[in-house]
Amino acid sequence: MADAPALELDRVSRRYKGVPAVDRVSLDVASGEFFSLVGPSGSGKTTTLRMIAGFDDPEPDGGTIRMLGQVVNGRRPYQRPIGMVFQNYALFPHLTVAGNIAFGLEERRVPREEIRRRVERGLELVRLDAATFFSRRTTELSGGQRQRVALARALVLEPQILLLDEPLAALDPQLRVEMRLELRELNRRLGITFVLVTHDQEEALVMSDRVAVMSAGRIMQIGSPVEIYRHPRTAFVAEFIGNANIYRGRVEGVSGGLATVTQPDGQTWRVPVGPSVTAGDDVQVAVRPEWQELTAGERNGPGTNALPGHIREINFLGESSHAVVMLPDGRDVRVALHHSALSTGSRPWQCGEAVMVRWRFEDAQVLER
Amino acid sequence: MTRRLTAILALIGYAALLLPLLLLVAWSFNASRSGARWDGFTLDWYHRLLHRGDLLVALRTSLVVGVTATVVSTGLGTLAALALGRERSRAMGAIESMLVLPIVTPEVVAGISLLVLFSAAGVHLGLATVIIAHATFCLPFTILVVLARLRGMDRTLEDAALTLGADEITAFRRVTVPLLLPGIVAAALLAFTLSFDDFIVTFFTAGPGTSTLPLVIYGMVRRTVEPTVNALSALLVIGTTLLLVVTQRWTGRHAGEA
Amino acid sequence: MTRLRSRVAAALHRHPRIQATALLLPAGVWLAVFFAIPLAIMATYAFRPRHILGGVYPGWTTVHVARLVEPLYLAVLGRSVVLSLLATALALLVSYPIALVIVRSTRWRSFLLFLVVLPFWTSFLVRTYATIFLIRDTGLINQVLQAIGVTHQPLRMLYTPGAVLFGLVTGFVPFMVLPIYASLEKLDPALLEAAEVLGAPEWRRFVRVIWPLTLPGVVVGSLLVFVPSLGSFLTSDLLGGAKVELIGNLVQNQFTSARNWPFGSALSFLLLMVVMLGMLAQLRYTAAHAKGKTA
Repeated sequence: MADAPALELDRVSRRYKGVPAVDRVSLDVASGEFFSLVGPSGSGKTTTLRMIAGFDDPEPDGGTIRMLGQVVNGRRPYQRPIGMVFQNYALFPHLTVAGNIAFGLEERRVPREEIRRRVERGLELVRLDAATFFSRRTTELSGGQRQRVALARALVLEPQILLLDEPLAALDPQLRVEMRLELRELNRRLGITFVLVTHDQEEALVMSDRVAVMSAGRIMQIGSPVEIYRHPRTAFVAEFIGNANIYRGRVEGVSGGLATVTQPDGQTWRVPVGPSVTAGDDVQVAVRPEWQELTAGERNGPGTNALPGHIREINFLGESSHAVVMLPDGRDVRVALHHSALSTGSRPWQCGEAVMVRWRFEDAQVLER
Repeated sequence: MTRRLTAILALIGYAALLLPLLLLVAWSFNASRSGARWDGFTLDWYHRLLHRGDLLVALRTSLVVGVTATVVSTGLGTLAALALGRERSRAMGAIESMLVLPIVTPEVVAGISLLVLFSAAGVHLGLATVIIAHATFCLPFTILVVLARLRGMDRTLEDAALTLGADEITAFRRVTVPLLLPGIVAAALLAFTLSFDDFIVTFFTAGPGTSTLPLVIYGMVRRTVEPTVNALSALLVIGTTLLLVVTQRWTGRHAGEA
Repeated sequence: MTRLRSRVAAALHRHPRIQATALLLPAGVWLAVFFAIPLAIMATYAFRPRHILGGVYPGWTTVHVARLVEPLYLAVLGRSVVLSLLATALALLVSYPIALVIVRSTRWRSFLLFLVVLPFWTSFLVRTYATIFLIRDTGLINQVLQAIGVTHQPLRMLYTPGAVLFGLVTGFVPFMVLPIYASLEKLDPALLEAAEVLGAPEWRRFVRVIWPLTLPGVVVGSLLVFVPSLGSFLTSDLLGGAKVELIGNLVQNQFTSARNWPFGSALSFLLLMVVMLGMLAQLRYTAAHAKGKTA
């Protein structure tokens, strides 16, 4: 058989005080892949990671965890082919940087000379100067340096799977951006499978090969960053990853795969649907701000929907602006206004202006209930 | 205005606390028997101490009792603290309260209850009974000190060790113990001091043949008016001060480790 | 060999109850045997007939317990409680300012703390003797006063209730300063700044912000003064002589010269009960107070 997945979770569940913290979670991670678990606090992502690490176990009939083809349920962390980077780094304060990095090597009874070599290589791997940092006390390090040491400590043991629990959460924004790319590079260079947990969806999208979105203990959707972003399956995923405007309504009729949907306030729009959708069904779609545009009141072009509204405010975001438009039924939607070159006139919109919000039929993503 | 009042009250407090001790130490070097005159610096009273055989025997007894009670109470206390520190539950909270209860028991009651125990069991009072008594009242203190240190420790450190290939026992040995050590030492120090200074409980559990330093001092204070008592007391004060200074320096060095 | 150890480690982890029990058992058994059982035996002794040479006879009697309510002994108890409360109040009066001064200073903080901790670690007996050294008829104060001619006869300071009070207060002030200091230290200075911005002057800031938030420390400190004061007999023995008899002295007496173990046990138990009641009352008060003040 070709490479077994590095990690498999098969309907893994765990309860906490009677409530399911993780509910029948299934996922596969291929060898060498960078896989992220994203979700808000309380979504169960950390609990899942702890089960993968072996600190907690699934319920007795709560699924199996396999690593490299072998069932690891019941095995302690030191019996699993994993390494881990903790959110607070968990560096041993009574040991130096070298002492920390060497810890696992000493456990394996690696000879002293080789330990020294591998520690130095580990420091190089995370771009810390070996001469300067070798004998430093961990209490004298900055946040970014501690994070690198924590990484080196795990990587030096060449684990099959590296688990990362919100590793960038405590860093400054600038450092965070830098580290994202470094982590990504390490994953590519070393070929180690990375499983990362984060609440920052942008982080997950930048670094990962695939992302799993979690909420309330369940997996909402798994896919590549592009897939998840372009084709969110639920309202939760649409709103958690990036921004989304959600439109709801009832199907009046379907013709040629295109449904005409009427909102409670009477406005209509169209969207391509699958064969299972018929008249009378309730439907929800997500349309991202950048898939919409503002026009000044011209009626519909072919193939697009248009809803009237007026601009409530314009938020400047740097790369773009978001116009917050209030629709007749009182809801707000966001429309992205791109700034191209400094000098070109794209039409400057004003607050209070009456506008039409437009998007192409096929750009709306139909969401599951 | 309140600032000044606070300062005055604080000053009164400090004076009441420290002046007696300071004056005592100073006058222990006074060659004169009468307090009002200063007849010159002397170590005479200290020399006289050395000739008091009963003092030296009592000192040795105090040390033996102190060390033994410290070892016993610190050992038992550390084990208990490890259990209490690991898990927080209602049951553990209740157990913790029960284990710490002896602290609020008046020493008279503690001493007497032990006297009653030994009498009812037909055990003769002597060195062993004193050691047992001391270990008993030191135990809650050692538990509290080690527990405090344990609770201040980062719990994820043991988890990290587990991911680096160490099993639970190794993680305990290589991570928890080194970080716990300052707490254990502090507990031992506290236990030793409490034991060395104890009077009341020792009074009831010592029996005729056993004498600790506090018991001898008590006798001297009640009877003699000789300045040797000053010298002995001053020695204890100076000794305590030195011990304290050394401890502060040592904990200061390890303050960064949590 | 290592695999075996890993197995044991994993097994212990899997059964946290067994691990906890094994760790708690030694201390638990020790305290059961040398703390709980002695108290129980002592309680039964209160109901036994007295043996002339000390100890008890088998059998039961309530004669000793009945004596507890005699006015003489109630007076002793009352006196002890009053004195202890007074000592606690005076200690607070002095300890809180000391704690404030320490927490407000930056440069001298460790030194000032050291000055409080030093008496804390010095033998109580030695500290009591230091007081005797100063205040007895032939003590330093009297000798100096007579030498400079202020008085011609020694001032009676030793063997008075005042001396006992002084001894109790100075003896236990360090016990009160430390918890209050700990409470003050944890106080977020931002709270005081907020209060200042909202218009509260210094005195009001103390009453409305500092005091309520340090109340737990004050309660702990008060307990640490009240309980030992109530049970003390060294202080009243050495500084009060036969003139000031507190319950601690009374108890000690029963087990030495008076040789009345049952009565002594009864008294001892009474003392324990009073202490426990005092503690419960104070803890109830903080709990209620804390509930009311949680924002």
